[in-house]
Amino acid sequence: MEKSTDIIFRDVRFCYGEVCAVQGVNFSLRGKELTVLVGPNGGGKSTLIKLMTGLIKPDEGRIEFRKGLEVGYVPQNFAFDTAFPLTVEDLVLQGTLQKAIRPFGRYSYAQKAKARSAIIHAGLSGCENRGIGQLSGGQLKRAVIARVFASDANLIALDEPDAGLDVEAAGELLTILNEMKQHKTIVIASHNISQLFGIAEKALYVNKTVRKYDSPAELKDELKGGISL
Amino acid sequence: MIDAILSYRFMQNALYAALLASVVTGIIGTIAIEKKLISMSGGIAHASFGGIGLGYLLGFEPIWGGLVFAVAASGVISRLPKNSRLKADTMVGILWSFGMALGILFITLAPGYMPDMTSYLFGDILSVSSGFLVYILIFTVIVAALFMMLFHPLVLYLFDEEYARARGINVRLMEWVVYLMLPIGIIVLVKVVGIILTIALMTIPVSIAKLYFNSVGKVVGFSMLFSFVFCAAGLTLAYYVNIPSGVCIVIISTVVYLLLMFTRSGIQKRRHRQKIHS
Repeated sequence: MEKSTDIIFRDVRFCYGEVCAVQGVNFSLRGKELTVLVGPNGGGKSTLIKLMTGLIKPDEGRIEFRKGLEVGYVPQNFAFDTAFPLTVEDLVLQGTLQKAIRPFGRYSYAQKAKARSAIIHAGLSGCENRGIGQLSGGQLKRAVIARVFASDANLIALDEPDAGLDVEAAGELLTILNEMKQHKTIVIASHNISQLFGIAEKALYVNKTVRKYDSPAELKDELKGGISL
Repeated sequence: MIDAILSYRFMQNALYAALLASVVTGIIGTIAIEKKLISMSGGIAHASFGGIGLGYLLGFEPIWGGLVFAVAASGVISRLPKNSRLKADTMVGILWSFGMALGILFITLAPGYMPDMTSYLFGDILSVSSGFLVYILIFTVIVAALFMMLFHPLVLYLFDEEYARARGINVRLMEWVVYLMLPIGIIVLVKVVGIILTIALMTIPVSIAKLYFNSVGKVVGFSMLFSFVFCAAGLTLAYYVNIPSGVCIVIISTVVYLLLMFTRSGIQKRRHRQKIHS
C-alpha cells in the first residue's frame, strides 16, 4: 500500500442473507481527499460506508487500511434517542474517547479543548450546554459531525449527511465539510450531488459494484448520458 | 417527632437502607430507562422470587438465592441473539412468571409455617437488620464502583451503541457490565420496595430528574436525591399508618411525579401561547 493511500477495497463482496448489496468492489482512496458516493437507492452506498467503518465485515475479499488510520462515522439515521440527557458538549466530547478504556477516566483539558474547537468549527458556539433534544435537525447533524471532527479519525465517512436539511442548513454543512477536508479524508454518500461535486476531488458511482471517477465532472457528464455498469 | 423516630434502631437502619437504595436507584434506573430495559428489569425482579423461595426451602439467606436467580435471568435474556426468533421481550415474560411460580412452589414445599412473603413482594424497609444492611452496602458499592469506573464509555454505549462500536469501544464488555449491574441493583431494591414495586422506584425519580436536567451525571445525582426523599417520606408514613413501606414510597413518588409533570407541561403551554401572541 502506498503511503498516500488510506484505504483499499480488493474484490469485496457483502450480502444481507441471500441478497448481495455489493460485489466485485475494487477501489482505493487517497488521504485528504473528498470523495462523493453516488448511485441509486439500494445500490449499496450505505453498505460501502459501513464496510469502511468496520461495522460490517466483507463476506469475500479484503479491505486494507493504512496503518494507524482511524475511521469516523456519521450515520444516515441516528440510532440514538434525542431525549437522552446529554448536552452538546457531552456529545462532542464522546468523539475524544479512546478505544482503550481507562478506569475512572475523566476528560482531560486537551480533550475539552478539542471538543470546544470542533463545536466552534461546526458553528455551534453558545450551544455547548444545550440539551441535544433542544436542537433543530440541522444543529443536531452538525453536533454529530463535530463529534467525529473532535475524534482522532483521519478518515470520516458520512452517510447522507444532508438528508432532511433545509437549503440553508445544507449550505452550512457544505462549508464545514469543505474546511474539514483540509485535515481529513472524507467520504460522503449523498443524493445531493450537484452541490458536493463543487468541493469533491473524486467520485464513486455505486450500484452493486463500484466505478471510480478521477473527476466528479467526468461522472456528471456520464450521468447525463445514463450510466451502465 | 424526628428525634423520636431516629431513636429507634430499626428506623436508623431503614434510613441507611433508603440511602443505599437511592444510590442504586439513580444508577440502574438511569441505565434501564436510557437502554430501554425497564421491562427486562421487571422480569429480573420477579425471577428473583424463585431464588428467595429456594432460600426458604433450603434454609439459607433468601437474598443470596434471589441474587443468583436474578443474575441467571439477566444472563439468559442478554445472551439471546439479536436475530433470534424468540424475542427478548418474550423471554422476559417467561422468566417473570416462571420465577414467581418457582418461588411459590418452594415456599409451599418448605417445612413448617409458610413465611410472610409480603416483605419481599411489597418491601419492608422497617425490618432491615444490621446484618442485612451489610449485604445492601456491598451490593451498592459494587454497582457504584462499576458505574464510576466506566462512566464515559458506558454513557456512550447507552446513548449510541453503533457509534461506540464504530469507535472500537469494547461494547461487549459494556453489555456484560450492564447485565451484571441490573440484577445486583434490583436485589437491593427488592428489600426496600419489594419485587412488585421495584420498577416504580427505578423509573420515577429518574423521570423527575429528566424533566429538569440534561446531563447524565446530574440526572443520576438528582434521582438519587429524589429517591432518598421519597423513601424517607414513605417510611415515615409507613411507621405511622402501618402499611407496607414500599406502597407508601411508590404512592408518594407517583403523586409528586404527576404533579411536577402536569405543572411543567402547563407552564410550557402557557409560555408557548405567550410567544405566539407577542
